[in-house]
Amino acid sequence: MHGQSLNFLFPNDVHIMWSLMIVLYPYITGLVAGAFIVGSLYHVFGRSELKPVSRLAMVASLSFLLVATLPLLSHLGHPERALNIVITPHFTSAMSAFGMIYAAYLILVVLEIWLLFRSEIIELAARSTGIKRGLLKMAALGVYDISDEARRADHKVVTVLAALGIPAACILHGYVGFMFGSVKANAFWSTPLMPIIFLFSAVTSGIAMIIILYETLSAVNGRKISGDCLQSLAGYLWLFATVTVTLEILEIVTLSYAQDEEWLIVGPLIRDKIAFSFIGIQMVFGSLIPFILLGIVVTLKRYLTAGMRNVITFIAALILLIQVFSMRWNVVIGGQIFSKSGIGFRENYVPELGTREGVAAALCIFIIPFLIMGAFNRLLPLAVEDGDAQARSH
Amino acid sequence: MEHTKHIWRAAFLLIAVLTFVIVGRHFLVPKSFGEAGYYRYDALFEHMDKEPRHGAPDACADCHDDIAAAKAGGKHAPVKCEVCHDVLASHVKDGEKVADMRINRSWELCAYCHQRLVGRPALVAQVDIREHLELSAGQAIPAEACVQCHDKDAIHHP
Repeated sequence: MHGQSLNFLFPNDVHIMWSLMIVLYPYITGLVAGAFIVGSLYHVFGRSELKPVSRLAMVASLSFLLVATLPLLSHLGHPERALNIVITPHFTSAMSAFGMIYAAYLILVVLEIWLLFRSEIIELAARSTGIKRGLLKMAALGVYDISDEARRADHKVVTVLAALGIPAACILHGYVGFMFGSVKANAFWSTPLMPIIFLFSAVTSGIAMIIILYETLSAVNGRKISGDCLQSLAGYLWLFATVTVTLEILEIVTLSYAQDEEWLIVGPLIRDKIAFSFIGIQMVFGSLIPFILLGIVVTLKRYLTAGMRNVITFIAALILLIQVFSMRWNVVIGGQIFSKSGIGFRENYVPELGTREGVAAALCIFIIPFLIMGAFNRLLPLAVEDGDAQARSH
Repeated sequence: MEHTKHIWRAAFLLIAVLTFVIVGRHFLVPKSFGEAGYYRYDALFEHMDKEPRHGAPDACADCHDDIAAAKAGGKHAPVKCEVCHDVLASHVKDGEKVADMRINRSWELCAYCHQRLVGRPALVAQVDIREHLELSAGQAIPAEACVQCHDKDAIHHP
């Protein structure tokens, strides 16, 4: 009788299949969505103080979007087959829906960036010679109209695109949370709250990344950081980080208070297995410290010098980027280190260094968006003229 | 309308790209896709045309009935010969032996079932391989560690 029950491969949940790359993937798509929301705050909701980062946010969103699929492709054994879900998509597959959401969002962001930089493309084409001039003229689609009427038309379309982009960005990232939330066999993932938590932490990481990029870009260019802009970003970051952490805590508290059977495994998971990365990094270091730092920036602004505010906000943003990464790590890896049967734990996952899904590959992928932004900035400056920003904000 | 020429051009370009994608997709979808379900129907026939590599569960017993009888009473009875030995096709063709049978003697193969794991039912004998071999830290597991003590008789009829 034993023979009959033995003749299959078991157990089927002993390996951690979703590696560091699957941690990196929601992290990068989160930055895409978050950066876009920052851009939209200016373009759609008229937060004029955010003008200095409005272009930076859009280009950052596009740069991260261009590499968003790389971690997934690196994770796949046969990356060339990835296109099959786009060529023959099936609506019962969330991944094939991603192909469409991704494509639609990419078109939208490219169009918006094109309209934002159209005047600069035309002016640069006029100053350039040879192939560069030809390429830039092609990028301008052969229309060199930068009259006020044309700019007004651009502005209108940009507003519409940015408005459409908000739900697109939210769906793009909400879907990532949905991918985890819909795995009903996994007690740690299976909650309808998952897409919402992912979405809010995406916006948090996006704002934090824009703060870091803005301060770095200003330092590199020798430009003055706009006080209104940074103060506003710090306020939004504080708000979104607070909501994110509250949701993260609520999810765990609900599980703990309800004392359902899944808590028998999720409780020890949090207390023993991922205590350092969850309680230590995600909750205390990553949430409490930025909450205090940003709280100081927001509530005690009259007592802070511009330099102090910039430094404190920069540190808080950096810590929140680590917090969001640790949240992705805890969800993806933490959700895999216990057996779905609830019987016990596997060995902890330690990523390799040099393999296809290792730390070096992850770092390479993560650096590419910054190189794209650097190249873009050399061609078409991301910084918005200060004088212009002042004029608009008053 | 006068100053929106570039926007119209962008819109037409977008429509052209979308048309190209839709038409392109039409040519990229494999020929027999969707004929009998959401898959490439021809794939079935391509697989049917392939030579079988594995033997039937009792194919080995045709020649090795002594080993099959010994194995039938042992704990490895449900494990097919081809799990540890090579596939039948590399050893026999048209009823004739064509090459010696290759055997996988690596410790990794044994560990596949016998490495201690939380989720594995207790009816399978399990050890922590490193602990079992009393290896010190940094010492590699010898390639054929298990079969040095557990010989073929013990494996066929443990």
